[in-house]
Amino acid sequence: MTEPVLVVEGLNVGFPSKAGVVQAVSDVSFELHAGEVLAVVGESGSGKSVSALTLMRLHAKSTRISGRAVFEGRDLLTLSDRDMRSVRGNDIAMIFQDPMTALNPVFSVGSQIIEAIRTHRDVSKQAARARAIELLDLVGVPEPRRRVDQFPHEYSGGMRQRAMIAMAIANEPKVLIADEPTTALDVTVQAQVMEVLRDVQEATGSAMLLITHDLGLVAGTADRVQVMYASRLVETGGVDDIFYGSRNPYTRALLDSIPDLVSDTDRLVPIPGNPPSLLNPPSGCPFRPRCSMATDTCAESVPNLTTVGDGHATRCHHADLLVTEGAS
Amino acid sequence: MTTLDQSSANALEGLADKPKSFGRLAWERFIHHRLAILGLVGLILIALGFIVGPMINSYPFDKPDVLSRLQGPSREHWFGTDEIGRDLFVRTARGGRYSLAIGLLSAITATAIGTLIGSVAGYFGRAVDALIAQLINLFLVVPALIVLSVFALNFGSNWWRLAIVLAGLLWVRIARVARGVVLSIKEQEYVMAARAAGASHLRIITRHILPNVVGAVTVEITLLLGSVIVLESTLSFLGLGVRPPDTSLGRLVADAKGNIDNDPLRVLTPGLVIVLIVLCVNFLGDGLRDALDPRARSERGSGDD
Amino acid sequence: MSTTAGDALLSVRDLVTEFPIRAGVFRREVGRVQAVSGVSFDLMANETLGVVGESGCGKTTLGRSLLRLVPPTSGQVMLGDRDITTAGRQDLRELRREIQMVFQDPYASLNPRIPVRDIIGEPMRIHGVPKEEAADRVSDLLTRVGLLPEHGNRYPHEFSGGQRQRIGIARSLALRPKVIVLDEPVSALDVSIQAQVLNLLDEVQEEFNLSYIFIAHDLSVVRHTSDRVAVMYLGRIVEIGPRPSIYEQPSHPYTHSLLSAVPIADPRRERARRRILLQGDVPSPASPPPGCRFHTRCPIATDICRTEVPKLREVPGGQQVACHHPLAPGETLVDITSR
Repeated sequence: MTEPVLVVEGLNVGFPSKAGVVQAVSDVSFELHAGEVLAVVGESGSGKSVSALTLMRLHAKSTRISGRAVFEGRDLLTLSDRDMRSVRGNDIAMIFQDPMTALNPVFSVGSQIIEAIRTHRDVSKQAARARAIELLDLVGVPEPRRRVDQFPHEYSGGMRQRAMIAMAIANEPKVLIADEPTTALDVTVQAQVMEVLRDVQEATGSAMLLITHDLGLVAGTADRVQVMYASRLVETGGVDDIFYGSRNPYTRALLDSIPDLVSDTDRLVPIPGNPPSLLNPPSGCPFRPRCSMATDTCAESVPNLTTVGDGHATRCHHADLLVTEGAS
Repeated sequence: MTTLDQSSANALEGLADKPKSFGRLAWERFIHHRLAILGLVGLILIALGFIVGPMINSYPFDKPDVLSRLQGPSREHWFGTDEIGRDLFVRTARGGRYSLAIGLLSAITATAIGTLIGSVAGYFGRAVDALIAQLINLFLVVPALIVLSVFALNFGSNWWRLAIVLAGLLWVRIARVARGVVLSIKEQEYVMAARAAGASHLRIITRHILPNVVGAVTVEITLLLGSVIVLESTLSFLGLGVRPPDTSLGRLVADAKGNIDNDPLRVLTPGLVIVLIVLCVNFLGDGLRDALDPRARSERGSGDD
Repeated sequence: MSTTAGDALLSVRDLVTEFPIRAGVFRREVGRVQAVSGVSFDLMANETLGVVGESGCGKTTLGRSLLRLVPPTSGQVMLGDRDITTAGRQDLRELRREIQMVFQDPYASLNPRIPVRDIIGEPMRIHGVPKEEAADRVSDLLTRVGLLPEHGNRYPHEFSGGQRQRIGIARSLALRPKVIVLDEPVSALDVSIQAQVLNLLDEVQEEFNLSYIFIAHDLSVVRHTSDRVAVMYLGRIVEIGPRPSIYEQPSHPYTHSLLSAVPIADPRRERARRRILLQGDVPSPASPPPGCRFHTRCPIATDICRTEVPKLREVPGGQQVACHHPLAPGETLVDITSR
């Protein structure tokens, strides 16, 4: 396999608050390889978005961070502001959830793409403009020559998202971080935008970190999957391993609880209870209070991430009990 | 649901041990806001000073004592005396009481008018709202001081008239806030749910809309108080406010300005009192705004990660 | 529709709901948006009718129009033998006992200043249910939705999103309605909580003998909960029929595209799938295309589609479709337009 483009080791992110430290990310480690799509799946509070924002160093000054994130030989977490700015939008780019607020309404779309280009490359305005038109065409915005001068409110939701993708890939980044890129879009537009992302990624060979809560999206796009729960990584593996051979009770419970478009299940099997507080997490395994297989051991210590297969690891004291019975 | 005992059930559901009403949450947030408490305490102390002070220092505010004129601060005359020998501390206290009284009366009146009109505009919408909104804009555009001066000249010769005149202009600020809140609440799903249950307009306004308007309006009142004090002081400074021998803080500044080169302290003192009052009021308003901000959720609320 | 209004619990005929577009200083009306453009359907006892569509299709406005929370412009909504759209104030209050609503946003659908027991009890108080009986019912309802009676003393902000939705459901049950309109009841909830609430809705429907109108954009959720499904596009129903017909043998090109766009949590299926990608975005409801409103994005549109509005007609699969070129059972759009 190719060399990893990004290596994250032991990432911890905590937000100090009046009531104590809210530990949003605990001990997350992973590798991202060129050309692959790594999906980070989790519900709200799992820490998936916070991890990404922290890697881009878009966090508040008071945030407590530890760990390493090595990209091209440098640790992103310790870079100076100046160095980090040359990385953002250039080597690592981010696509956000809500295209309306991610684009500045008072500037034309074209000028925002041009700005993204000229911040990092020494090119003339004409050259940048030509490139912007090229990019808009690449992402499927119709009539790019006319649209390049239009404002975000003149674009529809799907087009705005495409424009954001254009901005993100303008400088051919090595890593694309997409944070819930299609959540705010209609399902037919979602399909279009995901298609664009796929094409773009193939064309540039960049790695993509796809953050989402939508398991369907993951099944259709990801090569590898990382499941997060209550600030921790609870399972990681190839997409088939995760969907057909999961060795983690949370992942399984999640898969069992979602309504399916094709199968005719009578009743869903919900996960009882609620996600835990990040301020006062339960002792031991964070999923314990809701887990059907929990024992005393689970309350005593947080399980370690153990390898259970080729590129497949899980965080569970009883992973051995979950040897698969076949596809769901 | 299985039979669980109360506290483990609460723990399972993640609830705190005792119910916390919105009011209680707001109170807790307010108490922790240090500046607000400082402001509140400051105001109370100042008010007390105005009331109790003259009782201790028993010089009458209007009795001239030409022999002791233009003295600096001393043990008998804490703030010194003015050009006809009146004790300045007592005059400041009296002036301060007037300023506060005018401020409070006009704030309350403005609130009553503003909340009513603003809420009606917001709730009934369309034509009524369009009309009232334009009226509000008109009032906001008019330069307050000039209009007030005209009114004060002809109409406001004693303190409560002045307060009414001020209220007559400033109610629009409250109305604007109330209208905005009502407009946004009206569209909230819980109001729709009440309508779906068959609630009458009256019920919706009193039970669902007004309690939520109170929060925003309370904040605006404290800010209004500050503005009133400054406006009144300005009017009095221009000679249009309270008539002698009565005085107000603004008037005291006016009286002292002639001698500012020799006796700057005499100008600064009432000026400083004005500043302190407005500052305390603003801190208080800040604290109230933070405490009553509906967007601040409880410690339990889930957020995005 | 082959059933008469007498059989159906709720009967909607040619419902139109328009919104004025206002501009200028005096907010004069400069145009109208037809959010709901002539919708007709029946709802039987104990059945769930799912209503799906994307943004701008009018499904939320439809839901609100049924309860007259938004005034319908024309058409009828018959509950029994009375028309909600023209009922007088007294009648309307009566009618509102029979049809209730569960809202989408768990954070905006409960008044933050009122304790939970009053939120659930309010409908009863409005309709004069005696205090003691109301209090008992509130306790019962709280237990029924999976909370404790003691929780009635608490305030909405103390609960999580899923719990708030349960409170919203309890409130909708207070008056023992016959029909409940659910407007995206689980969209704002986490995946693992959605299943809890969906199961609750299922149980409650059986126990209380309810009919549901389940409005959602998530086709998987609608598939799971509904007996019949209506697909809406720009204010109109384009296809309506039994769930298996719609999901397994869809007839309208839009339904085909919609279904093919929904991601499935099954990697092998996803890899084998071929998607139909529609061109462009949904047109604005303020200026809908003439003729068949879908023709601007339809891969099989012809001249007649641009000029003539198709009517709902029954097709072999068992459902009704509004299309000039409905697809036969087993025919897929992928055959016609290869990708």
